[in-house]
Amino acid sequence: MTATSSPVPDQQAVPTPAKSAGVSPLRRLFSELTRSTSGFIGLCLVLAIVLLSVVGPMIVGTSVPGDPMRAWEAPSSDHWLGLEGAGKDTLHLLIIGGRTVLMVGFLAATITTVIAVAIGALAGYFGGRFDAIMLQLTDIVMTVPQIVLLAVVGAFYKLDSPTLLAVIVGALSWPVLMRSIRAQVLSLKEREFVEAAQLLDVGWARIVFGEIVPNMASYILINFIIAVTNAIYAMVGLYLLGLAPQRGINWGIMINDAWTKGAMFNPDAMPYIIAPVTMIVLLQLGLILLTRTLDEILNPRLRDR
Amino acid sequence: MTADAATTDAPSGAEVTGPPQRRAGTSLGHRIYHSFVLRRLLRSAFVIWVVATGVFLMVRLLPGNPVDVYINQQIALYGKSYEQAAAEAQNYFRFDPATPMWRQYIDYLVGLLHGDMGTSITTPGVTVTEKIAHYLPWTLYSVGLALIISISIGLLLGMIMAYRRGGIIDHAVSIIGSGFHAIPNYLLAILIVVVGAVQLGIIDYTRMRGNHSPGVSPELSFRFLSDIGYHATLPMITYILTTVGTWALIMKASTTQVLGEDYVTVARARGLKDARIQTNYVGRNALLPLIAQIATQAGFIVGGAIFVEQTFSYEGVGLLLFESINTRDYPMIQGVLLVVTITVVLANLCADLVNAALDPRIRLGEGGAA
Amino acid sequence: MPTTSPSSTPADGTGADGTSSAAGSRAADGTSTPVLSVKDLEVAYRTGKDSRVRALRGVSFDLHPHSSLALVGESGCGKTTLGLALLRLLPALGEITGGSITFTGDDGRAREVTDMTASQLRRWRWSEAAMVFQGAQNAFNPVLTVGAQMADTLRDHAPGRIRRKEILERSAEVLRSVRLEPRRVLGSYPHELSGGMKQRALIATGLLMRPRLLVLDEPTTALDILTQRTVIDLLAELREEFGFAMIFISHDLALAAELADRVVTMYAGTVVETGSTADIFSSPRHPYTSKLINAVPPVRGDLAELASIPGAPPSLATLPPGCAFAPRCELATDECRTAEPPLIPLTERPRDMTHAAACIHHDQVHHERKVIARA
Repeated sequence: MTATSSPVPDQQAVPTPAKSAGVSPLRRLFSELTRSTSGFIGLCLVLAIVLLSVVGPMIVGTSVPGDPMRAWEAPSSDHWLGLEGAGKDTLHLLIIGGRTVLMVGFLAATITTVIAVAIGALAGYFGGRFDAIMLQLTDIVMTVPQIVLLAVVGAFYKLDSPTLLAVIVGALSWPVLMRSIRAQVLSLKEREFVEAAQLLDVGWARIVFGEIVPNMASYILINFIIAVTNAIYAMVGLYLLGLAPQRGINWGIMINDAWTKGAMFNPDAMPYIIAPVTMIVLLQLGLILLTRTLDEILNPRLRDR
Repeated sequence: MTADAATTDAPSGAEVTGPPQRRAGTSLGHRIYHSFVLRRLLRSAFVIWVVATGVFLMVRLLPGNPVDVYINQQIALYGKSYEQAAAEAQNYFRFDPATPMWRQYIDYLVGLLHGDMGTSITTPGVTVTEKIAHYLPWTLYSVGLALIISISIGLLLGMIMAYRRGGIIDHAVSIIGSGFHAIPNYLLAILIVVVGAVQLGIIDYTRMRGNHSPGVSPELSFRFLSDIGYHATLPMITYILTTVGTWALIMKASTTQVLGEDYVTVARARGLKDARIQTNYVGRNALLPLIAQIATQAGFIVGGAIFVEQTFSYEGVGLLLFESINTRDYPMIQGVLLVVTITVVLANLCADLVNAALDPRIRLGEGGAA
Repeated sequence: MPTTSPSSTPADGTGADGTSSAAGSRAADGTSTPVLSVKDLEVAYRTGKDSRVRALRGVSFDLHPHSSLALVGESGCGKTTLGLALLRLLPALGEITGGSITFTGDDGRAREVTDMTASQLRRWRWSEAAMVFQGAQNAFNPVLTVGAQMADTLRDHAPGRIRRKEILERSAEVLRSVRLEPRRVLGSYPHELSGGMKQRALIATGLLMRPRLLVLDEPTTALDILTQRTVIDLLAELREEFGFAMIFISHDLALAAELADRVVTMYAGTVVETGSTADIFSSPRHPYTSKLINAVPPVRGDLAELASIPGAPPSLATLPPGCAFAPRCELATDECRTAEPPLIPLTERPRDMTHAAACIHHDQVHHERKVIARA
């Protein structure tokens, strides 16, 4: 997991706005996605996990009974993943543990993307002083490793709620994304449709947000997904450090439990540790596969022949 | 521009003759502006200053900042007066909270320049600088060595993948690399312990944790070096596994692009030996984008060190940061943040300088002639 | 590799009288052996797992020592492919699927280029046949100086160790012959040179080993008019001085008229007409060649009407049966559309200057320029 976007999207050129007759671009995207094995797997993984985390709790209920006398019981037909330290069903905890992770991840990524697109597009389009300052700013923010910065902020200021966590993570992650967006805007700026809009004297707001940005939609999508992976990495890290709100239950808290309370070294506790780790890894894997495939679809140049 | 005798025929107007004059003896400001090295140095210093200021803002100025919290704590818990509490705070933070803000800022900066970052709250009497100096070398060692190994392996794999696209190594590395890319480095560390040590017992965790075995003292001996290597293995494996895939993919993309460049075809047309083409023509050019990524990856690894070192009880600044966060040792946290930043800035600087050394276009400025 | 300069023989003219004073190997009957003999060359590009596109179809021509040949045609007609194929530098997706390329060096031995092993190719390339690529922009390695790259070439071709002094001397010599100042150019990086300088440096590098054959792909296309002039004059001089046989690939007919003894026109991957420059320009015998000439305005003389050729060249993947030019030709008949016409010899000339055209209606090709205003 990198704290920066993978190197590949920076090199791609933006595909021309395609308006093929009849089939909606979303449909086409979907069909192309399912054709590639890795893309299909990625999509399935993500959808499965989302479904599990959103719908699951509604089915199994959010309160989990626990009998401390039966701590660390091994997996059985009643409890597929066994019981954890307080006697609660691990599988049950796992099912309800995904909601917060997904919520924070997507919310943080949305914040990051919105800020990055806004600033990146404006910086790229207008250039000049504003651009130079923004570049300098992102350079500086990028120097500090994201996790370290978040850890320090988390240590200095209490992060009370998952929403606050999402906001902080989102607000500190935009520099990298902003650079990619800016690069794309710079190349799009020279295209004819922009020139046409300029000649029509449409006003910069409409040009930037009405013409350029929609043409980067696919690129923004890919970067959004990458932002989600980054946010999840940051968030779980913060949970591990104990800096994120420890209320409730989610995968991050489960791993933190295992890590700090020494459950790691308890052979019986293995399902309790491996399960949330696996879920997070699968989620990240699914997201990464999605981005790789989307990349290939939207940028055929990169396809291996 | 002096009329140049690089061409002896009637000059066509569009041509500038010869390489640009590399002048000497112009004004100092002019020379600083044009000297690549100096400019980068200044920029690095600037970045460090900005980060230091930012830290000061966080520590002192923003509402709910640690200094205020500490003072209020002292007043509430121990009934001290504000001055007393402030004096104690000064012990730890190096600047006196009772003085005007700008004064605190100056004190803070001066302190930094002297290498004084305050005193640790949890271990009174030990300055932050001392403690960091004790822990830092271990992190630099493990992270640095891991980076070197990771880059070397990734580089080789990437070139092979580019030369034999669609081959076994290409597919294998792509898949495995993607797989490891998806595992956050801290989780990988945990997995190594849980699966490797606890479950499978193939990793002797108790013997491998820590920086060095008890009883082995730091000295320049083979015994010591092999011992610290043994203990650094687990953290290094974690760092390497999570980054080598990325390096390979970057190198593959870069090499593939270079292989398609005209000058490679021309080199083959010139009948140059394969070995020479692979190293001087393909390799040197493919390497350039990698160097730009070094600093980013270094920052990423250092960030992950917080968890990895804790998992393996490896006493580096990552562990230090983790502990000081747990104990709310604010001066220490602040100090580690600064040191980490400075390290990354220096890594950035080195990468830029190496880049300039390898790529004459950066060194001499793009497009010397008309 | 030979370092002696060949005797300075004047470049052969259009060979109207057949005598040649070329220093080349002579067969027993006194005619010289061609440097290059291409027979029925076929090249195809792989476009998918099982599909292929024929880029060159049955190309044949000979090239005699010291003569210069212009390979002319529109974009996509296969002329660059042919140039690359001659040195076996086709990209990974291309391959020579048939025919032969026979090269005869100074020693008189004929060698099959298509049969050469990798190491034979490596030694043969540049020392006996060199190529100057299209667009000098990116032809040099950006991280090495020009001098270092020339030294690399010399070192990798030297039979044993070669001394620095000799490297410098030889590099300086070729640079001077293209009118570049060695002191400046040798120590410069490619991005420090202008486009024209780079092109000349590229030509100089091509001459380092005194090859017998020099192939130039669009040598003047990327340059401004004034630099073009310089390069053209230079090439003529160099041919005199070094005595190589030259093939240059261009879409510029004016260039062909200036530098070539002989012109070969290509269309859709096959040769449609070949002959001496004088013959081709005065009386082209293939409708395509005629139209090509008419499409270029004469700089001097009468103001003539510009005629463009209607339609577009066919896609090589879906070639029509019969003559590939038939869809755009007003002389086309049914017979044209059924069978591909062979190259029909029309006027015999020595040293392979024979005028030949691949058109069954060659006698109906009336070449005239519609004069708009008299000069």
